[in-house]
Amino acid sequence: MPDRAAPGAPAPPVQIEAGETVSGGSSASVMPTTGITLVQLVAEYHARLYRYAYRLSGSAADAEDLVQQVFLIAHQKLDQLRDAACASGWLHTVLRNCYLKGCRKSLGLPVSELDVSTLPAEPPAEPIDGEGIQAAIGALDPDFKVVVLMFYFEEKSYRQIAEELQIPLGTVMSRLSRAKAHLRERLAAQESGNQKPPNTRLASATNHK
Amino acid sequence: MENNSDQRRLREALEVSRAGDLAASPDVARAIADDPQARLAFDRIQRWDVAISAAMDRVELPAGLEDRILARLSGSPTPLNSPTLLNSVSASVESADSLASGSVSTISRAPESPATSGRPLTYWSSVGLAAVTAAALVVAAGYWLQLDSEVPIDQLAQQWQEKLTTDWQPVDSAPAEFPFPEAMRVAATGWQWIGKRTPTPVVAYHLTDGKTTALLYAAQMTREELASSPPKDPQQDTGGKAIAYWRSPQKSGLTYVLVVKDSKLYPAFVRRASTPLAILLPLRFNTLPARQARPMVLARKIA
Repeated sequence: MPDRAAPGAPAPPVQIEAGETVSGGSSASVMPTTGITLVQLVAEYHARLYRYAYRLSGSAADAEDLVQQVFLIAHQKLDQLRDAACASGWLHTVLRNCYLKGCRKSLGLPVSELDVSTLPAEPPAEPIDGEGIQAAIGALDPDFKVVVLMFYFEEKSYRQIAEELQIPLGTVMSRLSRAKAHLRERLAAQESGNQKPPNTRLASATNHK
Repeated sequence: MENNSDQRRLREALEVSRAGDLAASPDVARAIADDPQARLAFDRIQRWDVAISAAMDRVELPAGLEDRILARLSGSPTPLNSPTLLNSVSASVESADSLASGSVSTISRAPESPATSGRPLTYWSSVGLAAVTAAALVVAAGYWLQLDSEVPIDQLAQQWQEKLTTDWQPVDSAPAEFPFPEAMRVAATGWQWIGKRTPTPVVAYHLTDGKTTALLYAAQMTREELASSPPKDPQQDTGGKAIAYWRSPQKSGLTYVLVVKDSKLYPAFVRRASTPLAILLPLRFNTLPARQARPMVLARKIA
């Protein structure tokens, strides 16, 4: 039962930085090999993780909940982190897993195939609105959402995505290309003032990659 | 057909490649060099990628997020697999060991009867070892049994959530010893076992009010200090989710823990306790308006 928490009195206060003390010592857990504290991890990554969580979940409440979960898990499993340079990737992976665990299975709605006969539209001249991109991402099935966020947010290559998610390269290419085309289509429609979303939603139906 | 397939493969490769990483995709590099249409498509895709990547970061951070995370972590006890707890477990076993050793030495100091005085030393060693082991097991069992009653409830809820699966069962098959509380406004849509055995048998119910979801855990756990109805405000509000807990008014030793994903919607899930209101009101006014007094027809009784 590795996740069970211990009873009893809290640990004595632990010195985090000069002049700062966290009572209980819980949030002052130290990564044994690197000496980095959980407090430092929170300070460095909470904003980025929140943005990632918000893009995944589409809701401020869910995003905050996800980030809380990530740091609680990090707190429990900090000893698994051997290299400080891996902290970002590790936390993002924990976040993705938490998100996918909480998702329901695919709704199996119609899948948009990649239209190879037409060129992508011209990108907008103005910066894309943060809520506009969220509306486009929100229409994606979780499997597509994760792939597209790993590409854009974590800046991973499709090969790295396939390796991390342990799914075939062809599946990643298919999901990523269709998800990207979907985002462009939605954003171009918003740009042109056509607020009506496309009548298809990207979902990982079982008969598709 | 072959041509279409090649076209699709090339377009997918154009979509997923990055301009700075073309060395890893020689087919894409060749297509861009040789085919003006592929070059145009790739150029547009790359410019879209830059615009979308920039938009991804445009998320406003809620005020006080970092503080709330740290506050939550500060209240989090040390995990079981940490050296601290392992030390405390070994300390428990050690104290059991010394306690048992004391018992053995007391026995060994007692006057020996002629019948036992002739037994070999190995016999007494075996008896002593058995006593030590038994005592250690008793202490360890006691440790595990009391564990969940001492762990903060939000931590238990977190642990239970991690054990959830997608295998929700129809509510009418929920075990009778874990009844769905009447204090809920929202009906359950499914249930599942979190754990059937000690230290804490727990059943989870899944609820939704159409706007958000909630999990209700019914745990065989004694928390006498809790009220026997859901609180007006949740005991914990992480800014994202609300956690409220109370003990069953009908079944002793049963504790309910409600986790609502969106804390603002907590009131939609629970009924306000009517007893304190009845106590507070003078007798002549102790009649609720018809709207409040009528049965809560919206709340479906599950068990």
